[in-house]
Amino acid sequence: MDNFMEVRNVVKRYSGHTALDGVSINVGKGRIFGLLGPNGAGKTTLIRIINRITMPDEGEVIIDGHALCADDVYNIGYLPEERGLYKKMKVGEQALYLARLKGLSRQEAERRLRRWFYKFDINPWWNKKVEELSKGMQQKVQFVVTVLHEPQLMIFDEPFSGFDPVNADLLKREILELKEKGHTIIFSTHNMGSVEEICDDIALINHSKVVLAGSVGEVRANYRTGLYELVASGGLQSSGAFEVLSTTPFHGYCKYLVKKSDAGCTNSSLIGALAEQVEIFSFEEQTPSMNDIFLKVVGGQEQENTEYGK
Amino acid sequence: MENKVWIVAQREAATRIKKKSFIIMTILMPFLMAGLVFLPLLLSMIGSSERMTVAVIDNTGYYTGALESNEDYLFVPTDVMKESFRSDSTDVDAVVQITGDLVDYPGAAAIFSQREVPSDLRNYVESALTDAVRGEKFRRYDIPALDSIISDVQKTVEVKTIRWTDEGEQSSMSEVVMFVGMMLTFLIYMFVLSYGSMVMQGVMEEKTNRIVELMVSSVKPVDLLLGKIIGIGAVGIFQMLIWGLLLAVLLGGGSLLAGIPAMTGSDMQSVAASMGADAGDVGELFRLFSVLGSLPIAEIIVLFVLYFVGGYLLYASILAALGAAVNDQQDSQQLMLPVMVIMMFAFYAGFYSTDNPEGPFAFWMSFFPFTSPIVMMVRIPFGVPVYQELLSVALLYATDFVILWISAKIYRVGILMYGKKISFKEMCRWVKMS
Repeated sequence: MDNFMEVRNVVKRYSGHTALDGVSINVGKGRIFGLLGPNGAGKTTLIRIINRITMPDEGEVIIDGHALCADDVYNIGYLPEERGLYKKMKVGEQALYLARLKGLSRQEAERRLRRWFYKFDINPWWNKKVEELSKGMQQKVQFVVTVLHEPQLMIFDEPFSGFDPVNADLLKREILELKEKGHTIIFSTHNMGSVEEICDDIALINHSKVVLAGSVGEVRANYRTGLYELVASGGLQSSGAFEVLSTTPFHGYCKYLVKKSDAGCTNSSLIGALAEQVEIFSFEEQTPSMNDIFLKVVGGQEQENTEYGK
Repeated sequence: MENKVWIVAQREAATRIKKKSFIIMTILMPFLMAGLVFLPLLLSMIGSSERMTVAVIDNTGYYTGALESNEDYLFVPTDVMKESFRSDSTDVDAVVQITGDLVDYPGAAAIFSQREVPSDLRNYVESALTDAVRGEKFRRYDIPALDSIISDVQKTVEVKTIRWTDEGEQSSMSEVVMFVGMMLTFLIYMFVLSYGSMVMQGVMEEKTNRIVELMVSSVKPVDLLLGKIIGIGAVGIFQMLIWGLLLAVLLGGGSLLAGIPAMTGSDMQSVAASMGADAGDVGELFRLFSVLGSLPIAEIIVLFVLYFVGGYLLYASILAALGAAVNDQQDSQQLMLPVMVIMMFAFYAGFYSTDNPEGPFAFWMSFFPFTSPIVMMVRIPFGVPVYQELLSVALLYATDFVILWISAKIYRVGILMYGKKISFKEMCRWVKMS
């Protein structure tokens, strides 16, 4: 995998606490990278460092093969979680202003903005004051401004908060489309459902450290529980290869929850063992959701900490 | 690629200049100020349009001649008090009745009217009658040439004030010089205060509306700060220029209309000139012109701009840092208090320095950067050695530089710090930290 951006051993200390403690992440080119973690874990600090808003005390950020420098801001689009606009300014003027600060000329910015406004069906807002727009409408404008200069790296911090389901879906499609076009995207969120849908890779930060990283598939595979849901004819009994945890009737058949006894056993051999006993209609591995994993990892650490505290 | 400071400054200036309140204030203010100057003049003109008819009933016969008609009052000698004077249909607005010899009975005169007797009429009649009585009394003392003796005794001593300048001797008038100094001081104080607070409001708006996180991902905080200070300062200069031009046109035009010779030069001169013209006679007016002409106009303008910019930079940077450190309006009031105290102190220092512009207080305060923009403006019309001016300006700009540097550090940390109440101690730590 070709890394577009690497964060190497970044440390950031504030008076009283360490916000980031030796954090390293690798963001692959053209992939969507989920930056996860509970509140106060250090996600925003990391994002600020990538945006050159704050400087790390130690470590470095490599982007597109070189150390992060001032001109890289033109190559990064950032949609902060705490996002606001100048309330008294007109929407179009404001978008133009922000685009010019990202290095676009006035004409180019206007041309692109008109296209996006048309695409998002928000053209009539051009001459409205920002304060006249609803929060969701403002979010749309902010999204447009973030991607307008077509940066290679885009960072979205909680992009869906404040959106209704229809617009959240629109936004999701836009983000996936941007990925198609080859943009690299960092996506910070608490919403684990959207992580599963969108992200290719993730890093989970807790207590200033990366506690979990990898592709979504790998991570989920690592947290396999060995549980399977099985719909089959009746009469399945626990054997050496598996254990039947529960049996419920299901439209004339039975639905079983089965746990594999040996973690090394492949799904094929498990199916073989099951098929010896019953006729199988459906077989599904119970992979943990990202939400389960998040809770398990973060919750587990909380427990350790409390115990340590005692 | 365009300079970001420039883009930010453009926005800061454009949004403020386009505001309705700004446009209205900028255009209305000079009219209000010109109105203040010309209103008394206009009112007195209106007052003279209608002539009052006053009947005079003089039982003694001595004083009818003393009451001379003028453009305000027409005095009509009458024999007896008529009942018709009291009716509504009468042409007579008031009646002066003199029942006895005023030399012996000073209280024997009265004015009757259906309406309240105008005090102007009373004063006029009183002074006319007093003059007549005084003349009669002189006559009764029977001292030869008493009139000339009295007027000789009453002559006052006039002291001229003359200033040596490069062009030779110039007659001077310290009141005018003081007035010019105070105007300049007040202007600087007002502009630094109002535009400095505007910078603070702007910083707070960006912080509380959470715009700043987005901004600093594309602009360096120091560029954002500089752009804001420059943009708002430009609005201030722009407003002052418009006020100056409009005032000059209004006062110049007004003076011509009012028959006062208009003069070229700054509007400040016209203000003083027309104000002086209201009160003084022609000789006084000529002296005023020569005094204003003797003022170092070019020096005043150059230094005014230098001190305006320097003072604004100083206070705007401090206020911007404070704006970045606070989370809401209430906190800001608290932190602003010390700054306001310094500014008020500077203003009063300037105000009192007008009495003694060469005193040690005015002298030292005109070097101290926090007060020098205000106090020095008072001293300059009185004449200040060039080395002092240079030193004071140099000190001011050096301080500007240091304060701006410190403020940028506080600003950079402060704008991204939410929800925490910040103390001065905390701010000092930020400065040391980075």
